[in-house]
Amino acid sequence: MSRDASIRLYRGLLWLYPLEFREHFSQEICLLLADNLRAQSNGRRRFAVWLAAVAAVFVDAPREHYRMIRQDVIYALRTMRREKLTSLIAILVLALGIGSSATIFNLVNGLLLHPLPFPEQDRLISVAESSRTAGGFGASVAFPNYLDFVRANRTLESFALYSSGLVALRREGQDAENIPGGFGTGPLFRVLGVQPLLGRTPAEEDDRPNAAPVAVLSEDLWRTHFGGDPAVLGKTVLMGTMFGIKATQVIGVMPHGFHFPDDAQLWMPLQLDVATNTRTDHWLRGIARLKRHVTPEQAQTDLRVIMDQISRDHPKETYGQTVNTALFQTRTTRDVRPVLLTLMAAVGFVLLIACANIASLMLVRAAARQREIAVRGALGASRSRLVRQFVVESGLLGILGAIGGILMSWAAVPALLRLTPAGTLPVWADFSADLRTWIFIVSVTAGTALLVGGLPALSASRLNLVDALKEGGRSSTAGVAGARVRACLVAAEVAMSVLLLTGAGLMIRTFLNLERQNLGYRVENVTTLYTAAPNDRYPQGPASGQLVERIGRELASVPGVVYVAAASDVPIADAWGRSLTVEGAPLLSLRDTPMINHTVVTPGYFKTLGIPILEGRDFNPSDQADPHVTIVDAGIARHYWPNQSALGKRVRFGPPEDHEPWHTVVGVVPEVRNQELRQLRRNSVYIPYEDRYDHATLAWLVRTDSRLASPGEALRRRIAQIDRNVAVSDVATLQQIVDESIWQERFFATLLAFFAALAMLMATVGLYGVMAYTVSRRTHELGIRMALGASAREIRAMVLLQSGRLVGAGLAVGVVAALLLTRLLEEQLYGVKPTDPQTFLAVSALLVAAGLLASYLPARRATRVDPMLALREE
Amino acid sequence: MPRKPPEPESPADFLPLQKDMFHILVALAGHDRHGYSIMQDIAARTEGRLNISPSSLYSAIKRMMDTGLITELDERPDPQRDDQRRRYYRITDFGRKVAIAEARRLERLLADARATGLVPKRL
Repeated sequence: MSRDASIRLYRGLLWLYPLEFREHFSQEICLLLADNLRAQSNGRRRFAVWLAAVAAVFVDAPREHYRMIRQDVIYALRTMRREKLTSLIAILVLALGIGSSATIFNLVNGLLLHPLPFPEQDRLISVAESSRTAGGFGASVAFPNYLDFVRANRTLESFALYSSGLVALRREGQDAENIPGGFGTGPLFRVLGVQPLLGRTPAEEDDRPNAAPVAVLSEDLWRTHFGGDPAVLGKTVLMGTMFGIKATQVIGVMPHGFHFPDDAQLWMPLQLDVATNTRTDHWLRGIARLKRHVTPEQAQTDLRVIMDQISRDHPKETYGQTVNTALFQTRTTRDVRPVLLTLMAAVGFVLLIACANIASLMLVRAAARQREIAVRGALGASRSRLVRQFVVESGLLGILGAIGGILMSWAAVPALLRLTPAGTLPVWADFSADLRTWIFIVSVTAGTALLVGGLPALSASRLNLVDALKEGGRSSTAGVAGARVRACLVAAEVAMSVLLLTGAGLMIRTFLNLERQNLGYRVENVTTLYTAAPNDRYPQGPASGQLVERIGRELASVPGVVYVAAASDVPIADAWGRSLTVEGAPLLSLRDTPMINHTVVTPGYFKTLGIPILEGRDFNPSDQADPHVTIVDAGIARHYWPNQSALGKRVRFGPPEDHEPWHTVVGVVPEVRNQELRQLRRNSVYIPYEDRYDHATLAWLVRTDSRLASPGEALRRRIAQIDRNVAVSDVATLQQIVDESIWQERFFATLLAFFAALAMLMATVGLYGVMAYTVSRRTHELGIRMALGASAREIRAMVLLQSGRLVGAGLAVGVVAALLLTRLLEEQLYGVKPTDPQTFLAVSALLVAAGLLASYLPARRATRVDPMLALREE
Repeated sequence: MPRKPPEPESPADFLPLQKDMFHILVALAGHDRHGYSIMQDIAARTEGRLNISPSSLYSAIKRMMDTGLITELDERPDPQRDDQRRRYYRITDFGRKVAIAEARRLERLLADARATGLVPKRL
């Protein structure tokens, strides 16, 4: 290598040094090396010297960077100490901004980004039959259709149906206990792809009808209920399910953290029979594993072709349905996804407002430090050095803010999770911080520092040194430009606040509308619970009827209990839909028959829930003799028998072709919300409880007077006294059930309101800062005006007008943006339009008030300017 | 490059002085020198035992300028003989004080070692 080339190479390496060092010394360093090389006597020694010089660069250059940053940090810390209050406010504001973002990101990460605990989860899809007319994804797959899908599909590696339900676990000498269970067709565990910890999972043979019953335990259940003993394999335990109570052999234990579906602790094969599960029985959900390199859409096309064939082959048992598929993870998080993404956008705005606020603060600081900057510049500090100084300062604020934000988010995430009722979030949601969280926090912090430090840095680098030195930084051009930028920042803050406040206002109205929704029944003072009676002791017939009667009697005798009734389910949770056929009306195909909500109830149900009987009568014990009676709601009565009494008319349930017995209408009750608060999804019919029905699990509704604060335990004890083999579970008040059904709206409204309040507070403070600063800079001008005879009122009006212009501009932009963006919220809203004028007016009024508040103090200070003092400054 | 006026620090704040810096101060004690001359001086005094690389030399020079131990000269001492591109450095009064303080420290160190008999009176 020639000497020139080696010097050139060396010079290239000097790029590792900071720009400033390089600019000043690189030429000298290269000269020095050239001198050194020249002094060497031979090539080998020259090479050794060159190599040593090169090696030294790799040590010295990073050191030089380190020293420089250290110097900047020390300088920044000194500045922060000097301006304690401003720095503290800046750190606090950034901590709130970063903390909010980190908190919501944590939720997004835990729910939407975190992989499910199933291998290759991007091959897991949900499958559902769906009505073409009703739209939506659909919920279930009929068992015979499933068998056809399994036979004919070309896109699925495996496919299973599943369901969940309570399993009454009976161990000798102990109270029966209801455990959440999962039921699946044979391939379920193959679809999920999870291996057992011990033993095996059900094989296809175990899923045949009348095969010996087997069960797999969760690791948790195995430890808590079976002492973690491996000898549990092969043991037989009495387990009661919707199919009756059976001696069930434990064949396996699943590893820790395996949950499917929901919070199931124990799994059994469904053992379905096509004889009893027809194409019209829709209660099983579908999950499948795609073959490799197959997309959910391809599988959907494949299954739809099969579905069309099924519809052609079985026109009477189908309703022209189609099939939908979607990634399983997308389906399980569909409820929270829009909420979380909206919240993410909201915290993004909060963070932007925080940045705008601090950038504005830093601009003021920069303006106040113009002289210092000018002096440093005049002494030879390069522009790049000055810019870096600002970036380091804002970076330091950003890092301190991020530390505050991380602490805040540590406290906030568990608090937020407490706002979500148990069982509403997927069990596998994992909210611990992972690599993604840290990448997010680091990039948000870096972005914040750049946003916050960028503007002042830019303004400092454009500073005209001569002007700044001459005029002491009072009215230099950079100051004017800075003021304009700050005005824009404040207007932007106001606009973003309007957006957030509007969103929050709409969600609060939604939540209040839902909370005040008239459900048609009285929610307060009703306690609900489920019982599961072992059907070996209480088989269908008189024995189970007597048990129900006895439980009802015993519960009614608990002090404080007013009414007791049993039903197939509690309101809101109720989801037993059946087709309705009306005598005299044309016989419709399955596709066209209306779906109604079908609730089995004991006498006294309506009294317990405070539902008035509009016409006819309640059920009574004598209906046991002739159980083919029904009570319908007013909507059905109005629709089928307008202008006449519904009493005595006859209807029947289930597929139109099934010819189930006719039921005579004996009563009419008002329409009530039996599925959800938002809408009356289906009208309701009520059927009397009869002991011939197989109701292993029953819901109990107990109305108490206000004396009995929390009756749950007393009720549970009373049932245990009757028979400890009757499992009791899900004790909750009806109020809790109703509240939980709208937790999402509450969660959403609460958080949005919090973020909107934060945004408005920051915008107000930002406006105050700008106005106070403007007034202080205009002291001289105001003094002259007052000396020339301007009244205090005129001065005040002038200042208020200026702030009014800022707020007005922000408001205008914000309202337009809100009109465009609140439409995205439409699906979340209830009883309020996205363009609700009341909300928009209220938000505008609120911001105008905040604007007045923020500018009142500066305006008052402006009127107190002493003309003499102001002029003397000149 | 900010040539900040030296901070009001006392020479004691710099002790113990980094070896490279001490040698540079010693090299500049008699003459103003440019980089290569400093290097040659150090090499001569240490009989080639201390070889400072060009980049390390200027890292040290920069730090010493930042802390006011040396300054860069605007004029060239002998325009006839010297390359115009070279920068010359001069020890400041403060730098002199620091060098003396460091020399005293070393002296005391040696004296301590002698007092204990670890090191003979004459090497």
